Amino acid sequence: MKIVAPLSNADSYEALVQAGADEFFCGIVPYEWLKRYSNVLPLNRRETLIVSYNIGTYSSMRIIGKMVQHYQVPVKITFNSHYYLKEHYPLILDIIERLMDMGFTTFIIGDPALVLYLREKEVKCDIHISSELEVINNVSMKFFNQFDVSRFIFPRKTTVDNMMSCITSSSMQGMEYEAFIMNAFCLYSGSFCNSVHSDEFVSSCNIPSRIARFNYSQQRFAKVDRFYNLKNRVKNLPPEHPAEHCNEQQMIKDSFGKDGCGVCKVKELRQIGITHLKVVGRGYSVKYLANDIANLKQIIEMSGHSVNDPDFSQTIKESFIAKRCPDVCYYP
Amino acid sequence: MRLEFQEIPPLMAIGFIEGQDYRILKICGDEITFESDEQIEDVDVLEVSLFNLTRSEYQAFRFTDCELLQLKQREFSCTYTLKVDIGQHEDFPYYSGILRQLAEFPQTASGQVQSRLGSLDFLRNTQMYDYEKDSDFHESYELQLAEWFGPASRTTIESGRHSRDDYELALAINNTRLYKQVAQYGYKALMQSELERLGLDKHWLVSQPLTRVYIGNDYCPHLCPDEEILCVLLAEALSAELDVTIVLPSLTEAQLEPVQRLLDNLNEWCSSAGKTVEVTVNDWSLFLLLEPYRQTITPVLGKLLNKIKKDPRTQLMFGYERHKEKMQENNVSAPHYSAFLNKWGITRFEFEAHGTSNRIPEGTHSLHFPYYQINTSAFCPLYAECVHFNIYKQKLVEHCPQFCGELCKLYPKHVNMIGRGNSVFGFDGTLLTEPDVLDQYVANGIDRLVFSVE
Repeated sequence: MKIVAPLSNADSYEALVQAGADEFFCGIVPYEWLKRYSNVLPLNRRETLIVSYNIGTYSSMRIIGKMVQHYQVPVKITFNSHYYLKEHYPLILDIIERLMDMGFTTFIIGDPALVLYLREKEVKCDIHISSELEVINNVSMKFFNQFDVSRFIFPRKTTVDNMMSCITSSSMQGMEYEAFIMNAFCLYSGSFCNSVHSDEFVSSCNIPSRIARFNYSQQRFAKVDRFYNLKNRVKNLPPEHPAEHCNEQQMIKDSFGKDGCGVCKVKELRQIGITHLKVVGRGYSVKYLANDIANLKQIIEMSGHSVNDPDFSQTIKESFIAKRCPDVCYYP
Repeated sequence: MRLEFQEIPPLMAIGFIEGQDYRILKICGDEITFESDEQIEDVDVLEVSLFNLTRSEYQAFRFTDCELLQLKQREFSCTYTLKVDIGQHEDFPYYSGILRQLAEFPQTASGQVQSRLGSLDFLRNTQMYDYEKDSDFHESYELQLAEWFGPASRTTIESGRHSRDDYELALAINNTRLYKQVAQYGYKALMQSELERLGLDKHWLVSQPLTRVYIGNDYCPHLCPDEEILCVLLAEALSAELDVTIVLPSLTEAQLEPVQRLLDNLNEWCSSAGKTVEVTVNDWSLFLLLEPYRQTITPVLGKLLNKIKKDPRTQLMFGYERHKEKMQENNVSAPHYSAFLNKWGITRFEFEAHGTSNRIPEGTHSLHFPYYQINTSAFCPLYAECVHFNIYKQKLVEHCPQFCGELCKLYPKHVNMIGRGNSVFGFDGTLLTEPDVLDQYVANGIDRLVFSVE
């Protein structure tokens, strides 16, 4: 079982390899794209310019390419926008061919039309079906397998049972399966999120909202009503201040899992045939990511040694998250 | 803070020497540091492209006679620091200063970066999202509806008259309340009573004949009718001489078997009634599942697979004016993809009116209004809020009490959004009030308007 880690720039590569990353994913938005479309028509789902989610130059990719040669930890490149325009496909093909010339041969794709285009153009690359395509049943997997794909990335909010059923029912020899394990839990499903993620305003899921009742409805949920009536009346709550920490090291340690967590299910995921675990976090500080990856590495090792341990989940919770399961659980 | 901000955001400053791109690491006065994968023979001329956020375009600065101050060689890269003659470009310090300000900003301001951007000097005169309006809500769902449908309620058959009438009008029946109403009163009576509820009883919609119904829900399996009620709804459609589109959501493994059974039943119903029906494809499996039923069931590309950016704030994006025409298009306009869809029997695509025009590809297609989907979750956020009083505590809902039948989520007035069940929708009432827009869509290939009452 391998760890797929986010790579925001060449500077992070070695630190994350040392922490235990087995594979990386990154996004590149080269100048020829930015100049024409900036972030208004994004090349991948990290759509801001200010936060450093993406790599911006081919020279940076060549640096990373040298690191890959040295460390043998591969980098997969994401083109996971939900859709592109007809004028985009030849341009993306050029970008992909340049990247392939540098030795990057695997692409994570979220637009079915791009998958189709690459295959029609007989591009000899590996394709990972992005979680943004929301492939959550074995028939959909068979549909996409006509394009000779090598991995399915299960979207957030896919249950372990559902993944297991997909894997066993599709019975695809040699196929790889990736599941989310840490960070960047979303309130909604990536594939169905059509909101803008830009520098200019917060994502739509961060716009405040209030529960309200239809006047024509019955009153079956009075408890809910009472709670939200009260909550709506309490205005101007003081902002929450983060707890004070004695040092950065402690802060990093305490943050483990708080942004999205499924580590207590590693053993189950291994047993059902998940081959790769995704740590999300392009743009995250490398110190935090290294801590996430190092802990996850240990947990994966423990899961391999604890085949008969019925309390694996509990052991992980006690050892790594001090029993304080975060609200943002990937596998509730 | 888990997010990391680099000294120069890498997409906002890019260096070039003889056409090769280089990542700019630092700009400090007249010194520019950049990174290369190999040694560069001649660093005499450096071009730097800086992104101007408000104009949403790069500005190029070409420096000649650069002086090499430092070259650091590392195992995988080289770092160059050059001294440039800033006198060649007097505005360079201003724009590079902005980049530095942007990079430092997250460390100096608390809260989300985006919500604080407006406080930066260089953005003071730019129209930005108004966070202060985020606290202004309607007191009730009914008041929200009154604001949305108010202008339409004043649009009469006469004032809403449009010149094109070569389209069909369909009604979306997409939740349990509406299924029950249809079972009790029939589609046409339901349409009439819902228009009255929304204050649209004198609107041109009243005079438009209803010819088709969409039955089911694109977003939530719990809001699709069960077999028994579906039989009633189909029978009712048959007796009212309405064509039918069955709406299916995204499908998990557990839903495959019931959907297979549903398709079998539909096929039988079609054969015995001498009808054909449409089924919306919101899940990739339906490409294969619908194959055996081509004679009786026509697949149409559902709203969840016909993706486009839909956000009421789109027009506040810095590059909107420059790119707005391109923002109207998506992948179904690409000939290779539409040919692929056609090969699978999909020639009709479901679009939504969403504040920004849609470019309608060749063929005839549907347009849904006045609500458009923005966000949907496989695990229901409303359920989490009602059961755990915590929107983050989401899980797969197996037995749904349908909180969404009684409760919704209101959003600040200025964003025109509403949360229903596991989804968030925007409201675009343009088609209800502007006949020209409707005419334009019909002229461009929309031959079906699908009206949702909620």
